[in-house]
Amino acid sequence: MKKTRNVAIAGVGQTKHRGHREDVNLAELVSEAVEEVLADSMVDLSDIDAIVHGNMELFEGVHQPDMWHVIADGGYGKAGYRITTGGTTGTTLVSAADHLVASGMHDLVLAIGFEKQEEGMTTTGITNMSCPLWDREVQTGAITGTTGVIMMNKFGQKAEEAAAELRVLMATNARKNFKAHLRLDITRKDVLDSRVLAWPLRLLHMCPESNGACAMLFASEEMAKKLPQKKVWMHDHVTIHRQEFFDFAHLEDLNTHGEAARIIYTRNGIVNPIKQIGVFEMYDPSSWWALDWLGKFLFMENGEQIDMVLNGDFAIDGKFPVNPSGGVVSTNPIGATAIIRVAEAALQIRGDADDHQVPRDINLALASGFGGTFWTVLHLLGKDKPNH
Amino acid sequence: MFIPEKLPVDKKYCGGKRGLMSIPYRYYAGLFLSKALIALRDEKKILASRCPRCGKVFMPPRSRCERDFAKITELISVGPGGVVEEFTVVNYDEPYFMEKCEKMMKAPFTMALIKLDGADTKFLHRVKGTDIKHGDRVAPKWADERSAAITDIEWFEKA
Amino acid sequence: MLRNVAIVSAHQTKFDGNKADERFQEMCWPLVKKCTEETGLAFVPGRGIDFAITCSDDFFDQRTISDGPMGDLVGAGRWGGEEKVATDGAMAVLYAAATIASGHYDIVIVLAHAKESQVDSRNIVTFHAFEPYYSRFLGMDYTKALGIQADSYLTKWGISEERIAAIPVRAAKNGKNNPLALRTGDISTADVMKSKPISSPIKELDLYPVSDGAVCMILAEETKARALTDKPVWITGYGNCYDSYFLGDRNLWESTSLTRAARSAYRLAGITDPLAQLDVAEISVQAGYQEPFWYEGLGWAEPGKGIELFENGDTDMKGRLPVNPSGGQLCGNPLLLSGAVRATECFLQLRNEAGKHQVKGAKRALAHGVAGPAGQFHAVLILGNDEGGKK
Repeated sequence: MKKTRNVAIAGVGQTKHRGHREDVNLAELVSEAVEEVLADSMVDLSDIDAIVHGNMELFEGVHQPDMWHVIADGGYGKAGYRITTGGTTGTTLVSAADHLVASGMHDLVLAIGFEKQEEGMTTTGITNMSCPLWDREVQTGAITGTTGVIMMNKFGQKAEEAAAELRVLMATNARKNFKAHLRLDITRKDVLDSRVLAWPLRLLHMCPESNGACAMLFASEEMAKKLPQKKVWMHDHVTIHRQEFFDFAHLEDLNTHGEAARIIYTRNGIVNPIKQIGVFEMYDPSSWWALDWLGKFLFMENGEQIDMVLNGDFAIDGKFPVNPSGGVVSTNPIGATAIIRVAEAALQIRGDADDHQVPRDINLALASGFGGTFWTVLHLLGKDKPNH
Repeated sequence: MFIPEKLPVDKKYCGGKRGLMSIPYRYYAGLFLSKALIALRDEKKILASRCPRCGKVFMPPRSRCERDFAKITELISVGPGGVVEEFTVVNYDEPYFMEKCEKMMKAPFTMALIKLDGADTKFLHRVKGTDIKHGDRVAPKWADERSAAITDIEWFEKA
Repeated sequence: MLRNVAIVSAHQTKFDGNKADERFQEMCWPLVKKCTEETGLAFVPGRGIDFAITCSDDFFDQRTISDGPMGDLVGAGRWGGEEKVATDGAMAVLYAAATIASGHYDIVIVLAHAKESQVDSRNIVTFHAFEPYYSRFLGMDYTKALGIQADSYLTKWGISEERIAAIPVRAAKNGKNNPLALRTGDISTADVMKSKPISSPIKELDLYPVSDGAVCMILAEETKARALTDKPVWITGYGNCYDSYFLGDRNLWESTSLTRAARSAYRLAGITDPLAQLDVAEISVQAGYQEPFWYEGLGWAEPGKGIELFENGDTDMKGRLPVNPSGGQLCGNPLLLSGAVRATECFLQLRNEAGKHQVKGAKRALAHGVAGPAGQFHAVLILGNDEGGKK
């Protein structure tokens, strides 16, 4: 994508994501992530020009929380932008920071995504996204079995096995990531024996409600040169939306992931994503969606991704590592979930992902966000500076 | 025959659907702030926090200094008396607040920024009555039943 | 900004106390239609409108992801992209400019909406802006915060309530020339003083009324802006800044965040003497006391002397720097939307399209937006037409 000037990721910080964080309040949770990004980037808070802040207000019931969080995120006396887009918020924050730096308006921008879901009721909050006059009272939020049914009709029992296997893989990865929320020791059988939420979607297929925050620092090229941390470069990003209402008779309409991937691959000369991209941090709210979406991102129309899952190709040491962090099914503080994808992808490129580091050099990494009524934000990051 | 165009038009009602987003919330104050809240309940003490770097005593207490980003771990007792620095006489009742806020006062009452003895910043509280002047000394009226919340002080009143 | 960005089209609704006969979408659609028809653009990334920025609030809309239905209106609902700015509308305009200046997009549509009437009370929404341990459950809301700040400001500088009462009087008078304004007419300071006390020293006529409305805009980079209109309005300066959150941490009688935001905007636009170099200003005044107060923050008057600038007539329609010819927020613009309305009014002024409230020959304008309790956050935009010092 054309861009006025290059933007680098100069630091990453995240809290440990947990189901219970009664020990801190919302503002303190945010400050943990800010403290870590300052340590990681070795930047002084006073050097930062602007804060980009986002979450979903109705999950904690705090109106414009960026105002309150000035007491804990270092925002005093700085410029501030509050940008929210539902589930994609985290990736939108990254896009926004990229815009603000590339525009020449700011040189050093701190993006903060967070959520403390133990303080509200997630599904009640989500169902309020539906039109109050038509479908609000029949909404179930993200808990849907439709994708599973379609996949099983198309590919049979194998699909159910693969969805379970994908969940086991995420658990295996999450156990290597001490910041992940659910670090389960589970087998395919455990997944298939877990409670049905909306058949064939089961409890263990679904993402948890987590508490956590993630902060990332973005710098202009000139500024990045002065900063000590290893740089990761913002190569490209795209945001794809579709309309408010769902047309269940034409579900191909939901393929915003495929459209986003097509645009990113075309613009960046990616002809073989599996070969060219070193790691993919995908927003996977459930293992069924993950199984379907891998096919969409990788243009596999005949369900080849199912065999790849069963082959272990998406494992950390596999052909195309997906979610070495354990993914969203392991960690899901919603306003932070998508920015964690980008942060984890950046850590993989830097080689700083500790126990869940992909054991090879990564030049390009992909990170996706999902939200709203099937919206996609897709980011491409690279070890080398892009040529614009 | 049924003709949709002939349906009645009611410009006032317009299909207005009464909605209530009743999402229950539970706000955790965290380990640090909850100590200060417990002090209200168990000791009838008002605690502020002191920044180790700039030495400022913040009321309400907080665990992070906004200006120098230092982590604050020290709670110190302030007040209980203080001085009204700024105030507004509130002349409206919000039925929603009556329902959601403990011991909500009926209008008219005063909402004031009070500088407690020993604190460097002012903090908000209700003050009983409407004949308040700048510089009035006030003291807390403690609730008999306390629940570790700021409303354990029902209001401040002239000392 | 590394690329020049201009507003090429901007429209706003009439502001009403309760648009019960229009849903959000119906309220916004005529504006989108006007903007796209005027420019001949459709939402086709790469060949028309590239991207959309919306501005709304989950609490006011009582809807999670309140931008959900708005993307469809601007055309982003079909493989387009949209992002929501959830703070004052001036920030939506500024952020849209950033997405263009960054080189990512060339043409961006901005759609901001708010329907304050839909909630039982605006105070219920702003109640939730207070942190829940020490302030919210005392029954706090932005109205009480305004009352406390007004008390602080008036007491500090010894300004009487009667002097402040002249501000809504002028707003209502200016508003008479603005057909989109809600609360206008001939009122006297005595009427203001007699009106219902809300939160002392703020009275009913002194406080911005509840209103519903929307704003739509199209922004473009220089080459395309020139092709789309012969009267582009350039964004030449900008600034925004947070102050402390707790009211008791601040000297409520001064506004450091507005001063910083204004200083940044002036520097970028090459303004050294704002009173002389600006031709018109639209500022967000939620309650009367804020008008002189913001003058001081904007560097137009010494601390405590803003009211004199007002009383001298310097900011009247025929004064040195006409302020709020539209009547401003006191005539009725929703919280959240005011900054976008101010920018739209400046756009009209700079294109000589403001009708009866036109300031003759305006070349350079200032639009101001505010968010948070008692003006914690400020945004300042400097706009100029081709003669108004485009960089």
